Amino acid sequence: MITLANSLTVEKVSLTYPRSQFPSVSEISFTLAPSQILSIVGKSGSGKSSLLRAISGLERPQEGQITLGETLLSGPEKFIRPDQRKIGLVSQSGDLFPHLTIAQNVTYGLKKWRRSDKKKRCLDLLEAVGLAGLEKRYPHQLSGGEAQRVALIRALAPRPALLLMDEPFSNLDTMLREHLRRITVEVLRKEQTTVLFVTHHPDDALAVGDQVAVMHHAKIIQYASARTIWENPASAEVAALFGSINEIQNSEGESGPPDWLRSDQITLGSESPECLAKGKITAIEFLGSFQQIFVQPDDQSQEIKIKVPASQSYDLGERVGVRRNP
Amino acid sequence: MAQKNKHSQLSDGWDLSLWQILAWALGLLLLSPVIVILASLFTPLTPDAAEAWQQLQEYLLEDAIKETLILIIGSCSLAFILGVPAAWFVENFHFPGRRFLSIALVLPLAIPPFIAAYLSTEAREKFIPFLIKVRTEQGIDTYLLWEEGLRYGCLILLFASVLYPYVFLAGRSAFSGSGIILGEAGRMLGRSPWMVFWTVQFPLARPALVAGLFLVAMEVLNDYGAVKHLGFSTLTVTLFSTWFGLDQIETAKRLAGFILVTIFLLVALERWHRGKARLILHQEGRPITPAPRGLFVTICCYLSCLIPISLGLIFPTYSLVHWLLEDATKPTAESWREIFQAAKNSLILGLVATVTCLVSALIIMGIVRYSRGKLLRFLSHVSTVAGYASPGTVIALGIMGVAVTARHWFPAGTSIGDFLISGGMLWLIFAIVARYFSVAAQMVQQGLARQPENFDQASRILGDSPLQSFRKISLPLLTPSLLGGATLVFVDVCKELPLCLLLRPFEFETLSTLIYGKVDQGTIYACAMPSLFLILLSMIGLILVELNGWRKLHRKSDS
Repeated sequence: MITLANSLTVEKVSLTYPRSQFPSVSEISFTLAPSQILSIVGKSGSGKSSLLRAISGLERPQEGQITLGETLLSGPEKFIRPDQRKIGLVSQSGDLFPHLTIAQNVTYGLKKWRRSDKKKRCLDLLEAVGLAGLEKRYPHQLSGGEAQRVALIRALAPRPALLLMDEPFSNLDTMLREHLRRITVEVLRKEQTTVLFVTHHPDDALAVGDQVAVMHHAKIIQYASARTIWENPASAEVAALFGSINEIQNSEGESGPPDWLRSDQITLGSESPECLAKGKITAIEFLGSFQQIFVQPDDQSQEIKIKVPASQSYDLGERVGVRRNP
Repeated sequence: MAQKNKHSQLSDGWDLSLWQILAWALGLLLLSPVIVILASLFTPLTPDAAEAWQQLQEYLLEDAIKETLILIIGSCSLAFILGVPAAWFVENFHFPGRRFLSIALVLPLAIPPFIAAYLSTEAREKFIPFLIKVRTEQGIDTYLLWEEGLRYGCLILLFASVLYPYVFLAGRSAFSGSGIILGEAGRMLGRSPWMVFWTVQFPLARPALVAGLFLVAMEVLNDYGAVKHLGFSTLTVTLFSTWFGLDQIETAKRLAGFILVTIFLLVALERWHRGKARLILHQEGRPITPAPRGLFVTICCYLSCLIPISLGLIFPTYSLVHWLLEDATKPTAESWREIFQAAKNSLILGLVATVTCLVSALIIMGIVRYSRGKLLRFLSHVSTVAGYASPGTVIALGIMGVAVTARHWFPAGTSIGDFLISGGMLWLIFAIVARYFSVAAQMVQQGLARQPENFDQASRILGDSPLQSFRKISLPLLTPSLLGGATLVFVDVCKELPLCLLLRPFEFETLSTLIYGKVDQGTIYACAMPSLFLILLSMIGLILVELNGWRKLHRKSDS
């Protein structure tokens, strides 16, 4: 019964919903190696979920091919139904069946398994996500985090060749999200599943994904490792997804550094010629371990946000120079 | 728990007692017919009435129960077969004409079963040569068997064709929203659409479908015109004949009491069954419904819609138009006057009853929301259930009982007594409001439930009294629910036959009693024109509600 993890190849896939003028997914291509986790990150409306729906088979793309391992799932001539694709899906709301117990939910997808095997698989998975003993409960008796863990193992139970996760943590608070993220990655590594993980949360994307794909306006604008995405974002749009950025006038011409910097890449000092910008402090936010200083540059360009240590002291209206972190 | 605290905060510092008394009085008044009927179970019968009761049990009751049960079970099964697939396909696929078909599927509700029965006369006559052949070739016993079977079959088909919309509406709201989302979840776990339907979507929709079927059963039980026309003697017909034929109102009340107890037990059973499966369905953003894939699915989509529509809408309308065109006796000025008078009466009766229902519902449900009274909440609940779970004939008997008591308290000669005796219309409106109050009450209740308590709190904190906040915040937000409720009550009142037949003042004809009278006098073709009026009136109402969005309103099925 064991389905080995498979590679996923997406070639020039486009999807336009009926009665929509613009494509939700436009000529997207990428390959994902077996047992790898790919984070797909982008603003809402960038086409992340539509891409998942196309791969899952819940929507049929108008163009392009999707191949899982050796099997062509979707192409101009061929379309395999979602229930025959061996793909699992975890959605934002979990979508547990409210009339079935946790055990019945988890084993729902185990077609033609022996009863004892089903039971073992269910108990093993519950154990793995720290929910042993809850198998007789009903979904409405679980907390949000517990329900989401059940949704995860329900999708993993039939050993899908590919697992799709659509913002699985977005309904949870920050503490719970981090906890669940660790459990999830652990289980996914143990099961050696190939995973497509959609999120609008930069932390989740970087922490979970071996690779990260950034989607913008129905296209993938960068596909690279988490570190590369952080250190060498392809554009200001990519950089902006992973934390607010400051647009700073580029004074050094074509060959100079990019004309945007993160607020932790710059610092404050006295006004001097080599400063990136000079201006006046307009607001100070004390945030405990650090403070955020807002500076209005003299050239009336956009306000600059800078993170400085909490120990430094500044005054409103003080004139300062913004410079690059050494 | 938190909710209760909010209630107490809301009622703080404001004296609700007068309003509460009004709500209690209204609730009890609406319940009074049912209370009178139930009380009759515990009052000893006069020797005369006891003898009639004895006879009833010996000669009539068994057949009446048998016929009623066969008709109810048959009609419910067929209504299920007609309504559920249509609802499922309409909700799960996007095919051209879907919205139009979805509206058309509801319209048979505009055709009262008794009119459908009259309109089917010619179709039923087609069986006569066949029956004659059976009789000459296979003898009287086989003939009787065939005749009875055909009669049952026809009536069950008739009932199901015009009543399936109750099941369809229940199914449509149950299969939408989370039904589709959970269906997709099932598909992604490798189960076929068929399997997903039976293991996920159907079990989740079951409570709503049962509620829809319950409404079908109640309509069948309530019907007088259709069953009588086809020569059945169901429980309702037996009630009529005991009351008027044997002139034994006390005996009829006792029978009505037993019918009520049975229905209430069934309602309680259904509630209990629903309570066991505590389903918390979160309504999510609606996923895009896919277009049907493949010719087979497309054909299924259209067939599932077109079969019910042909049976419940096209066939009756066709017969009606056919009659109007073929009828040699063109309506005279006299008959036109008759029809217009009846239409006017229906309209006035409908409007008065609708407004009364809505005002009562607003008072009772509003006070229930603002006050802490658990008992009042219970009373509002009971009066809501009692209305729609009581057949019209039973309500009419109860009203008669109330009238007798009222006359006892206020004898003729006193001003109230004279008013009550002369106010025949008053009793009819009272009966109609008691029966259809539940429709309005449920609309108001659902509308209020959708308004977060925070709205009231915000308005109260800004310095409004509960009454002001109800008028300025709740009422405007309730408008769609009120309009929906008004239309549904109005359509129901237009169609109502037994209550009007039993309680109308002398020479007061509504469209439905006029139609019934025409057929009763043997001039069946003359009923075509008033029927057309009645059906058009109801259809306009239903189309208005449909265009407004049923999904928001969820008819009685969500009670």
